[in-house]
Amino acid sequence: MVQRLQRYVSSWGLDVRDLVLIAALAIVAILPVSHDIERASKPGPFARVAMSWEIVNHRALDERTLPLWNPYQFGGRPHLANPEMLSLYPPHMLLRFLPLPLFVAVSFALHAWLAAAGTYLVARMLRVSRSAALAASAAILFGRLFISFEVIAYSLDVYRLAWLPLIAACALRSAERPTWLPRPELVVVVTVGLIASALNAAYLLATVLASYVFAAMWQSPAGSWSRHVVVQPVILACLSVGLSAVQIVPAVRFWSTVQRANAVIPDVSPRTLQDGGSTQQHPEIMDALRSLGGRGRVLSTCDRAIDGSDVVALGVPGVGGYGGVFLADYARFITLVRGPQEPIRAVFQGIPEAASGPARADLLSLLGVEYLVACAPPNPQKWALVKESRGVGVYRSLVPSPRAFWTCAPVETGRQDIEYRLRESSYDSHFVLQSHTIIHVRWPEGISDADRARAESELHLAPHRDIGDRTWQYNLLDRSPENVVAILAHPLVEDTQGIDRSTHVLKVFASPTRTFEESRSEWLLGIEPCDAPVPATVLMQDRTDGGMIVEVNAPRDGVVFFSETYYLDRRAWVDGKRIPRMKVDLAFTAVRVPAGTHRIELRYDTRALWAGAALSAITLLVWLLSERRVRVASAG
Amino acid sequence: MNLALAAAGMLIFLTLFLTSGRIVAGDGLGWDGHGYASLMTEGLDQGSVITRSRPLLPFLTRIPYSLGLDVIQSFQAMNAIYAFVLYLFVALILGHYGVHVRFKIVVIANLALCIATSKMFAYYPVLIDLGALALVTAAFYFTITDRDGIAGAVCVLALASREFAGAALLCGVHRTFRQGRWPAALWYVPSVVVAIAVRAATSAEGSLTPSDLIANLAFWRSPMLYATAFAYFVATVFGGMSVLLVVHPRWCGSFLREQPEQATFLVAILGLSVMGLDIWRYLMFTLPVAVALIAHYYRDHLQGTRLERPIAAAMLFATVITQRPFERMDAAIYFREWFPQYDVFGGVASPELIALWGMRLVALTMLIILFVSIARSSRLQESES
Repeated sequence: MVQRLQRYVSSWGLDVRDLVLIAALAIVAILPVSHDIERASKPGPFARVAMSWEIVNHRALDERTLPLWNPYQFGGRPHLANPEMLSLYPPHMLLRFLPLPLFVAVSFALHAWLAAAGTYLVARMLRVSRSAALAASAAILFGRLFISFEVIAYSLDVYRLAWLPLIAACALRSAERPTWLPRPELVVVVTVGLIASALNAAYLLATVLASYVFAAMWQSPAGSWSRHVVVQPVILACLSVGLSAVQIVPAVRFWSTVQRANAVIPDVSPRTLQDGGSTQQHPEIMDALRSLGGRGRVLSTCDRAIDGSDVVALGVPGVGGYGGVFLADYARFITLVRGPQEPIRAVFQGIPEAASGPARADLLSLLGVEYLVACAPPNPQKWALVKESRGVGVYRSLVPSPRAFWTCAPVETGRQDIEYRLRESSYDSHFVLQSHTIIHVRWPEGISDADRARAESELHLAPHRDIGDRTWQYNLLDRSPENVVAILAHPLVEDTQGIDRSTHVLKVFASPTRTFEESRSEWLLGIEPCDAPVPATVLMQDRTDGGMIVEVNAPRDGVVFFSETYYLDRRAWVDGKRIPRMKVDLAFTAVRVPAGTHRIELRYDTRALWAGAALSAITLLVWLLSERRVRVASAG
Repeated sequence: MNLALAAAGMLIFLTLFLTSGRIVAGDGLGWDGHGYASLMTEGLDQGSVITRSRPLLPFLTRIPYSLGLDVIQSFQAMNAIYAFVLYLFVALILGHYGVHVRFKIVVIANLALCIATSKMFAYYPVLIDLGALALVTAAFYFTITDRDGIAGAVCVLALASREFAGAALLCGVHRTFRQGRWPAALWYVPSVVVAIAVRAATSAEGSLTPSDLIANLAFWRSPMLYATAFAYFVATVFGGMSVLLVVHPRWCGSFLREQPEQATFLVAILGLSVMGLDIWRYLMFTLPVAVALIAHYYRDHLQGTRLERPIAAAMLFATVITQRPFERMDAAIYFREWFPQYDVFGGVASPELIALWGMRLVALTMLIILFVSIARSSRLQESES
């Protein structure tokens, strides 16, 4: 065994002294581990994003399941299928038993060492001296990888770059092998490097091609030699893609489904101190949220205290987050929640006015928000203070929104129509859409937010828009003559517009009905009259395998609405029978149920993952057989 | 072959274009880009005082713009052409000094991976510097091949593009005088006229004056910081190529003594560079001389020796380390990695930025040790054999 190892090492042109130096590089690489553990324990905004992704992987390991689903951000989103989460990255799979800060620090050290060792190998293969090879390795360590934790934590560069020197070394070596099959080391490192790069092959391709071109330029081409230099990279690409199919197939499936739905929007960078975001965690608020047990969804309207990455660390589900919103419709829905003043934007950065402004309470309830983190006290009629610290409060909803409930069947329609109707009308307590009736109310000078909120609540006024000079636009929820009289008689109401003060008659009209030329591919709740919604009993939710189980007693045929973001691969079973689920209200999931008691289950579809795994296994088998054949042929 | 090499270099430039991301400041136009875009779309009397003094290339960019491309796409298309022209003339300069094709590949790949000669314009396309550099390099090529008529004509174009082209003009005039062909210096008179005409037509309140440039020397009041930043960018402006040259200062000096007009070119650019905060954006105009130096170095020290392969590999390695060509850019990385001096001299440099650049300096030191070690080990091996 030792002899075989010695032969193998010497086949790379190395001896014991080289091995000692490579080991010494490992010692240098682990020097910053204790510093990185410290930084990982108190990460900045960028590091928190990357760490929040890894937390899901860790939590899946604790739950003894696959990290298929991230239940903590954007109302739930696919996890493993997104290659940037590095769920199937082999070195991380091996290190995942470590606590997170140590995991991060050891991973950085490992990759720094890989890069340095790879550089050393390349240098020695080019027959430069040990001191020169050592200088090159040190340049790698200091140039890119051996730098501050926060700078590298958010980027995947540390992982994708770390493999490149090793890939270059193996490619240079493989180019010397006069067969069409690349060396096994090259196949392995390119495959692992491809997964480390989140399937972004630009660096890998550049490195492999440059290495082969470099080898070809400085070696005399002979008959078959030049042929294999062309064929090897092609075979290598096929093998690497085949071996990493376990990641590629789910990723392709995921991207193709969201692309088909025109539902991809660009990545969102974390906010930094300069642009008003949080740079440090708010421990008291974090503790308060942690103590809530992670049952209800959290909405932070105060980025400086807590943001979408923090909720992952707390193990509580949230409606915000960073690192890309995959479902543009979810972001579009959030824009509707923000209120009519908010422009349509391609990113989702919380709902700033949710606390006391014109955020749509009816739509907010569809998101299943139970806790609010706010920098300013919200409407006390709707939110009760749980914990306050340094001007930031955690509030619990006084009207908790169930995560799933029965309601009447939706109507099939198109996206534009859904968006228009949701914008121009509001849900009542029965989840039936009522057209907006907008009136203006002027409040007395110096009125407090709390007094105004109390009056709004008494008079059934939903804030629509603050138009200045103490005047607000409101959607009148209760249009009964009694309520109209009550508005006019209220001591805090100075003036109104939209109500005839002499006859007490509303002078406003509902929004006009519009028709859109579009295919009817989605569903909208609340078009027809309906009974009161029936909350479902949640038996299981917020799991990293994407599983959610509820029981509901449906008074008649209808649907169970889930405050879960709709993704094509999250499928539904009713009483053990798989049935199609529906995309309702732009971004959510609903399942048809007949009258009676039913058990409904959502599961993340793993067929793409297993198909990929099978493809990887077949590729592995074919490769091993081919490698054996090549070795036998070359031995003969 | 030179055309194929230039096309390959352009291909690398386009790859960086795809992988680098795009600047978002100024709606994708960037900062100076607004001025160039105005020159192109609204007229040559638009833009800022400084951009108005560089009218030619925005004027040429009207061609793709008139074909239906938008402003940014028009500049992107022109940058691809400029990249091709630049790499073509680099290949021609290398060929003029008898460099083997495989080393030409290394040099062009090296330049196509550098920030100053490629990546900057992939990320921030609404600029004219790449085109101006291509013209300056072309003028330099025609100068060193003693085609003074064409050199003078290209100098006219270059001076209408960027003021640094004055270095090419000085180089050409100096060469004709040194070789005793002073009548040939008359070929450069039109470019002097154009330079004066452009400045006269665009000079207005707010334009840079010599006293402004001298005032800029105030950066040197923090000599350690500025000198360090300046030295770092001198060593890395062309990636491994410039690192290789700075580890051989004596050899470079002796070459420049033999070719004093190239020293004139270099001194003119360096002189202007020390008076600006953008450092490498000015130093990039030393490219033609750097190419001539590397070509000579190859002929003197590398050709046919066992040093050629490890030095070529080390050059590419140093380029990847110092230029990070495939890094996806954003505004934070732009200032942190390419213009850290703004934060440093603005007094807002974070400890992390200082630590990062401390590491970079250590990395550069290691790269220098690498080049020196390769040369020494090779010499030792040769003496042993």
